[in-house]
Amino acid sequence: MTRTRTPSAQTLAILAALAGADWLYGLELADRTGLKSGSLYPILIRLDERGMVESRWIEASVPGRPPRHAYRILSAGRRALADAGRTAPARSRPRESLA
Amino acid sequence: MNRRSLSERIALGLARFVAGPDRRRWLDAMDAELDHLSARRLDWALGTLVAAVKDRTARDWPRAVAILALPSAAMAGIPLVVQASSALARTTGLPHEQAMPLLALASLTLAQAIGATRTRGSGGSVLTFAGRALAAITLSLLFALLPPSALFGTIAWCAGAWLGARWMRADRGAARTPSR
Repeated sequence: MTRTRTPSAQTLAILAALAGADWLYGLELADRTGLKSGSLYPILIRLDERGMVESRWIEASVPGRPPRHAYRILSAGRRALADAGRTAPARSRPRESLA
Repeated sequence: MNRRSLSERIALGLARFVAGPDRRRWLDAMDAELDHLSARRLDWALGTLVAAVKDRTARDWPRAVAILALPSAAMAGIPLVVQASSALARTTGLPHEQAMPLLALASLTLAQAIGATRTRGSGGSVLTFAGRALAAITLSLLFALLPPSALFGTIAWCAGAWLGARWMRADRGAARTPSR
């Protein structure tokens, strides 16, 4: 039996941030959601594995800097965000995690 | 590009080790972002390590439990063994000098059990070494508190761990030998 889990407030914050933009870098996502890298990336990895976001490498605009990993929401992610919005319309902003 | 400090490099290196080769792409992603940060760079690097630990724990929880359980078992088990053998020596009325070999022998069995323990996969040898080292330190410290045989603990530990590892190798060898 497949268990469906309600996305956490942090997951929804990431999905919402991605829904309001095209491609976002990890740092931009961290700024928009208030999450630290220690919380942000495990969620991004999970969302990527579940097909809710896609990622790709984008060449840096500043010469000499390495390419950056960018993220975009997919239809499954938008659906999860919409479902969560229907079941819990007033979610609070995620708490700042320690790392 | 900002030059990386030693602490940032250590944090990222540890994160790569913890995350394992399956997560190389994600570690590269977190690593690349660090080059676009001018402030709070160490926070980001430490966050990378936290992310690696969280992710590895979530997908590989039996090994995460083992990482905590093996040294804990060594720390908790050795004093218990020593306490039991001390109680036995007291009830049988053995003098202190004769009780020491009994303690060493009792500890040897636990050292053998831990010596036979070996976790597989990346980080397994480090985990095994950490568990054994903790057990050795505990055993040596306990025997150091019980003079005059401070070396008993180390000797018992080395002998037990060697026996355990040998027993495990022999067991694996027998398992690999095809039956006729």
